Amino acid sequence: MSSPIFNEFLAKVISKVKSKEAHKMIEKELHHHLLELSQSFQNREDSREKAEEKAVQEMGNPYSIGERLNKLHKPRMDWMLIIMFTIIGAISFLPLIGNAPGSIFLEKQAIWFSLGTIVLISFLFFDYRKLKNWWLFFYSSGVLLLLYILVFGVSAAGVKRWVSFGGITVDAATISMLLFFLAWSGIFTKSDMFHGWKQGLMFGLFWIPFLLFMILPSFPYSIFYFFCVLMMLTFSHISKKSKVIMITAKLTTCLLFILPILIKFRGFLLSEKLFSFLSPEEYVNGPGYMYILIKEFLADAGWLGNGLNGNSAIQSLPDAHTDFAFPYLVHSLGWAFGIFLCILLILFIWKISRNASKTKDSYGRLLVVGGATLIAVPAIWNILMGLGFAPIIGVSLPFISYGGTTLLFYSAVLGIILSVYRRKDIVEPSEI
Amino acid sequence: MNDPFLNFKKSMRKNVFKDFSFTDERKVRVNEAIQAKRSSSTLHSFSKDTILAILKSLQLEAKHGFEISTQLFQIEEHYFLHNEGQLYTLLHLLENKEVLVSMWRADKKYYALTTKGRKYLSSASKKGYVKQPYLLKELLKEVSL
Repeated sequence: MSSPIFNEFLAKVISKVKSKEAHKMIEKELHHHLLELSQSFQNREDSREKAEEKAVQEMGNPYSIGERLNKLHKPRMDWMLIIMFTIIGAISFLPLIGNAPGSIFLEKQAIWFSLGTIVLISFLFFDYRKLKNWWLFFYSSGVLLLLYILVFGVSAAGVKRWVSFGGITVDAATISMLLFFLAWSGIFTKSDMFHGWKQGLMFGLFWIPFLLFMILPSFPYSIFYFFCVLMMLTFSHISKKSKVIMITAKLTTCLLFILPILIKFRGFLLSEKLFSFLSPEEYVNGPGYMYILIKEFLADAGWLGNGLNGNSAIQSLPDAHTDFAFPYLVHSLGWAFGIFLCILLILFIWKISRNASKTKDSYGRLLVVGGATLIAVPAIWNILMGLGFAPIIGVSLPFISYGGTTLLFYSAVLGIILSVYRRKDIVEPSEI
Repeated sequence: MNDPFLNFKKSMRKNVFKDFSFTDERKVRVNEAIQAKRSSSTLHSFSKDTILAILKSLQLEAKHGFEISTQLFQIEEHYFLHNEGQLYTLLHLLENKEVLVSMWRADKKYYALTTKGRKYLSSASKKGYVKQPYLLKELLKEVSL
């Protein structure tokens, strides 16, 4: 097919380009130019060999072309995101200082954080495109894992989320969330999945994990899952018509069936939780207590706070190192720090969303959109919850709340996002 | 007078450089290298006219590299003459700067203008204004880095 003289030229260009992933794309483009050139020379009655030789000569020095292309196709590193990850990581140690759980947690957090960094780096250097066709595997193992939790899971505070493997307890619900995230990003790149009867199948596949999360019961995870898949659907390349159908179908099902079922069957607890958030004073002896407690702590905070070890009153706040890390930090370090933390998180999420718009590969874009949602929704919810503006349900603050598996989960998500950014100029853009 | 160096060149060729060969292709390469070194300062930055010509050629429709290069020759922009491979380094650079956007169709890479690219083009065709955010001069500065 390709002539040896062309191949020799292309090999010389490529030899100067370090990024292996860019090779195929550059070769394809330059080869096409060589073909067209030699074709035009042949039209002027040159022999084929002569024309090919001339074409190569017209291209100029292959090494200097390669050197320039090498500069342009260096793998990218999003240093801003890395720096923000480090700052946020450092902040994650603060809720553990002077807090009730004690100093053992500091050491544990140090171990988890180094593990998280390892996970992040390994995902960063992993070529995310290899995950694309594994969606069925991801989906089914996610469902199996949730079923396993339902049967053998360890219950804590009324929620089955943990699975015990020979003494080590793992937050399996979080792992299954990662699996579903990878599964749906793969499914949405296959637009033939959304024609005719398959559309109904996709609809079913969407609700199974949602319901399983509900049964655990892990209401927040159902919500994260719902938003994550919905956002990926919105930004996917499937036809507009089926997109609109799917989105409206999902939203109406959610409103018509899920919410009433939720409020009725989950009974008192949830409805009380939801309503107590609107008027906590009426539920002072029940779930309303937490809202009032938090309000008092926040009122005491001031601009500079009470110091990380100064006040023992805050020790009465339960879950101050996990779900209520935000009010704890505001009370101890003040509103100035709280506002700084909010701005930092907003910048972090904004930076991720910017990445999504920069990558041309549709699979990569879906991964970034889904990942951004998985970080943004809990972050916003947790902060609003910490300020008393959202119902208190077990939502932890990404990267900051203490929790081993969740930290690893968010590190993995961030690693995937950085992996997409790294290859954004290299990946062959999908055909439109 | 008997010049001792009279037949020097001849005898050197006969004895010392007997086994050396200097093919035509090699000659061309060496010449190229010398040329490149001599004009290295200008070759590092593309000229304003070249960039403008590329942007203009994409004004109406998306084109692949070969179409762009033929159009450049038609309007007698000879920057890439005998050096057509360098066109792709410029195209990739403009793509990195988000002046161009690319897509693959039938195994060919097509380039089109982005909104940013159009702004550069329109500000270049207007004359008189000094203060404009999208001046090719500024782009050139970025490009030469």
